[in-house]
Amino acid sequence: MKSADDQSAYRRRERRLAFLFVLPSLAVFILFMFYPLLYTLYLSFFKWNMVSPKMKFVALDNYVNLLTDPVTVTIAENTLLYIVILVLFNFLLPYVLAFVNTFLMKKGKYIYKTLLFSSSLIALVVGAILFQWIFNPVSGPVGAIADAVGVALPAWSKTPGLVILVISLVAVYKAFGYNFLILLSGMNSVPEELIEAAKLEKAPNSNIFTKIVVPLTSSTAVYILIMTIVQGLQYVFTPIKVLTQGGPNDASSNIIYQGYDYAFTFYETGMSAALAIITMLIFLVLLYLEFRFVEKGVYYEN
Amino acid sequence: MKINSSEIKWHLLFIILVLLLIYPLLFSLSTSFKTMSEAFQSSSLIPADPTFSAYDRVFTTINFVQILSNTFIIAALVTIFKLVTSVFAAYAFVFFHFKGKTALYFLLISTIFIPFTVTMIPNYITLSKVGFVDSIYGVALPQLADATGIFLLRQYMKGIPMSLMEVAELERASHLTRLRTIVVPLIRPAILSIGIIFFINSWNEYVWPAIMIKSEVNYTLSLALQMFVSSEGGTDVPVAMAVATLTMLLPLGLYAVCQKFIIGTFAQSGIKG
Amino acid sequence: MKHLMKWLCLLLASVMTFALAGCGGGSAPKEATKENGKTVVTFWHVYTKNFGAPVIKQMVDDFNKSQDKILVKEVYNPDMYPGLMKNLQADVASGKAPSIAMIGYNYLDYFNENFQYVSPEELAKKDTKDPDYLSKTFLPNVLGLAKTGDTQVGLPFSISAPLLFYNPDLFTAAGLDPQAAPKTWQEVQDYAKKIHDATGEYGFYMQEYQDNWATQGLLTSNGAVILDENKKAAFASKESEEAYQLYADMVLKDQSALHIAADEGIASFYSGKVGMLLGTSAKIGTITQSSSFNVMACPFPAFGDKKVEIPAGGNFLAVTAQSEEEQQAAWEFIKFIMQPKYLAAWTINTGYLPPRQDVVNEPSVQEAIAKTPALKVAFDELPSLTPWVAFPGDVGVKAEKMFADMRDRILSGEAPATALKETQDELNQLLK
Repeated sequence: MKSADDQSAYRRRERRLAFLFVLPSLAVFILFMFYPLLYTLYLSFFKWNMVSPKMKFVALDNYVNLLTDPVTVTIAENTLLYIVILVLFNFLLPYVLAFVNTFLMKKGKYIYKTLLFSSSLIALVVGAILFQWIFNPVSGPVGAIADAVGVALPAWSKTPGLVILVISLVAVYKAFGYNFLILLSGMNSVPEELIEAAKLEKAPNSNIFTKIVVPLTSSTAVYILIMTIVQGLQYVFTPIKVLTQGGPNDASSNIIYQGYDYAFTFYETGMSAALAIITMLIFLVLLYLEFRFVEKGVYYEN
Repeated sequence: MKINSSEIKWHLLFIILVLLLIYPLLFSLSTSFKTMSEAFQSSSLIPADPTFSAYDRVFTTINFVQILSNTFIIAALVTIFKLVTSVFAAYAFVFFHFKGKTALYFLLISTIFIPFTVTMIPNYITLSKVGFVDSIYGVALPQLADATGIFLLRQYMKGIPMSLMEVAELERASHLTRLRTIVVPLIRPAILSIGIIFFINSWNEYVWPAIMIKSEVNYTLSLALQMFVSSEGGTDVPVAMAVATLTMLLPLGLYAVCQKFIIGTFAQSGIKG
Repeated sequence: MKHLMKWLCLLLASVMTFALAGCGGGSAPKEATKENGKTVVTFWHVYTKNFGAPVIKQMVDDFNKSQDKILVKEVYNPDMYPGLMKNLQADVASGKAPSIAMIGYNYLDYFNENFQYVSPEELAKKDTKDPDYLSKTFLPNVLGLAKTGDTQVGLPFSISAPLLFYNPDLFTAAGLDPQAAPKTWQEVQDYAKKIHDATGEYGFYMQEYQDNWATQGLLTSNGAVILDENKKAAFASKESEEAYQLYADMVLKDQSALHIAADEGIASFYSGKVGMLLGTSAKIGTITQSSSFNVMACPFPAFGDKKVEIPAGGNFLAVTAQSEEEQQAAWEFIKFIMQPKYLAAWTINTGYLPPRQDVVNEPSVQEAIAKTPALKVAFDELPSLTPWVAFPGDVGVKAEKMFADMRDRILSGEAPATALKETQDELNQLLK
């Protein structure tokens, strides 16, 4: 039996060691994340353009301006549309396909994951330029195909809605293969026998997916879902910047790009900071969801 | 080999998908071998009169080897540092017991949700104070603050049977020994797959280097592409595609050589649940 | 927990003090940077390897070899003027600045109000060898491009002019004579319709960047005023309405003009699918190389017999060096590259018009003009050039985007009168 003194000395030692283990990460996070965050929070109460000596304290004006500006409504709608498209193509589609690949296909299925992952190696800026070219309705290959079948493609870069779809496709191109791989590996935790049994009972595939696979792969799925949203909104930043700069008439801007626009196109540092803080708060809701599902998921599995 | 008829439709679906995803890669490859005017005349994947002139222009106008090595050094530094710190941090969050652990963990994880627009300006100012503007360290440093590694590794470490760790504790193995001999070997596939993603992301990073880097000697590959893209004077498209192809070459080459291993790694590294 | 939090707070506090120590302090270094005893001059520009950068490099190398007191370093900033402004903003925020910055004309007012710089007038005055340099070298109207009020902010370096490129093959296919280029906008509309009807291809495209450059020319050539003498937006006029109506009719009614993002529209012209392209003289080189047909060009069309008034695009050089020694070194370099020899090389390689008149007499320029008719068209447009309107102060950076949004609204079917009025009101609201 250890004495109480020993016990507390041991605990102190453990604590110190734990702290040492976390310290390197903590240091970079404080320097490059938390300090900037506090600084941004501070800036969000000022009207300033970063270089002018005039830095005016405006309290909550930036937040009020943002929340009353009709552009913010457009941006919010756009952001939602981006999320819907990204979740559809970068989460639901690879999720279903991972299920199909694992349980509904037998022969020659392994080659696909190798090939599908290759597009994840691309740089977003390269993807953006390529897609602009390929989707050029007048002179690009997609335009040529549409021409051949007698369809006139609209100018997507000037068509609200469509512009978001094409820009999202760049992010889809980048993340699809990776998400597919991760979801595929998540399928490992579904016992083969369960699926075979369900097949014997002639359960429809859609039921097998929703009733058996989804509950058993929820941790992976929630992780990919959250990353699809959080990372996806940042992934589309580069194509927005390269292809449309948020146009036409803000129809392709999203909450991240708008923050960049405030900071580096209009030089309204305070507005940019306020929008960033709002973005962060919205994302925190997602963190809460992550906590609810992924962290808990690990419990009921063990 | 006989493929079940109901499976054929799935194979068709996957084949279409693969073609769609491969097409842009082939497109950029083929355009890089075209002349400027041919690039705009036809979107055929086979250049009518293949020419290396775009690659010639790349290699004569920029120091490609330097740029390649900068990109590689940054990506390697970022990957190694992030992996090491994340492994230690994740270990502490799983195998140590200390007060405030959960709070601290969520504090770190919450940074995944900080958009980069928040950190851009303060980080620039901080790094400029220590003289890291226009240096590869300035590009690398802020990339180190990324909590996804900690998050994922913690998930994997939680899957390690507690009994193994208890045995080690009874044998009075130090934490470092436990980390080295039990934890790391068990989650090696996860570490490697996370490392690969870190590397690819850093390799392709564009927004931050575009702010940090000033001199050509410090350029990275994504920036090299921008050296041939001008909205004012127009874009040398074959050269842009040649740079794009070269940018993808190393990751693709590595991937082609190690794809079995990489894919296998991913397959074994699924998040449990 | 307590223990940990204490540590955390300590760490955070020390980082904060370290990082905040110089924030907003404006403790700019007043000493010039030296390298091997030479004063270092950093020259920020926006030119890429395929456009302009090789000439810039030549200028810098020649200057560095020509003397042993100053070392110039050129720095490329991606993403044109907005990209350079972004980097300048970040640099100044951290208490630094390049020696020379290349600023787009549309940032003239914003730059003037927000950054520290030395006026070329002041630099010339201090330059005892050559105090009358400005008036001797540049024409007053050219100097005016980089002037706001009475302040000479910088020296014009590049001047681009909008011109009409066209595809003679499509002209011929539509039964039009390639030698008889359209002179008026009414003709442009008519030609575009003919091309569209005869070939099915688009007749016309006007470059659509996120700015008001090309469209300003369209409006002012019909007699519209963008910014009046009281510095109020005044473009919601009958003239603007007419001009925009014609453009919108081509896009919406005739469907003979293309409404699409700039890179796509220009690529479509290269591939022979657009009859006429209204673009910048800076693209003469790329357009010629990227098109497989023989590209022809003509001046910016007029509205009837009204006077053509088109905005000068391009950039001026501003001295942002902080120490006097560095400022003088920067001035030496600027004067060096403003020599006719270098400006001639600049013009030939980029399609920019030179800021001083004597450059046109350089044999190399004459030769280039003879070889590239489009360049001659640009030179002929010099008298029609007016400043690219820069809205005062912080509004300036917003105005360009608002104009682009207005264009997109009109070209997607909104009545020009409404869009013009709303944008003007919004701008005037901001200007208050």
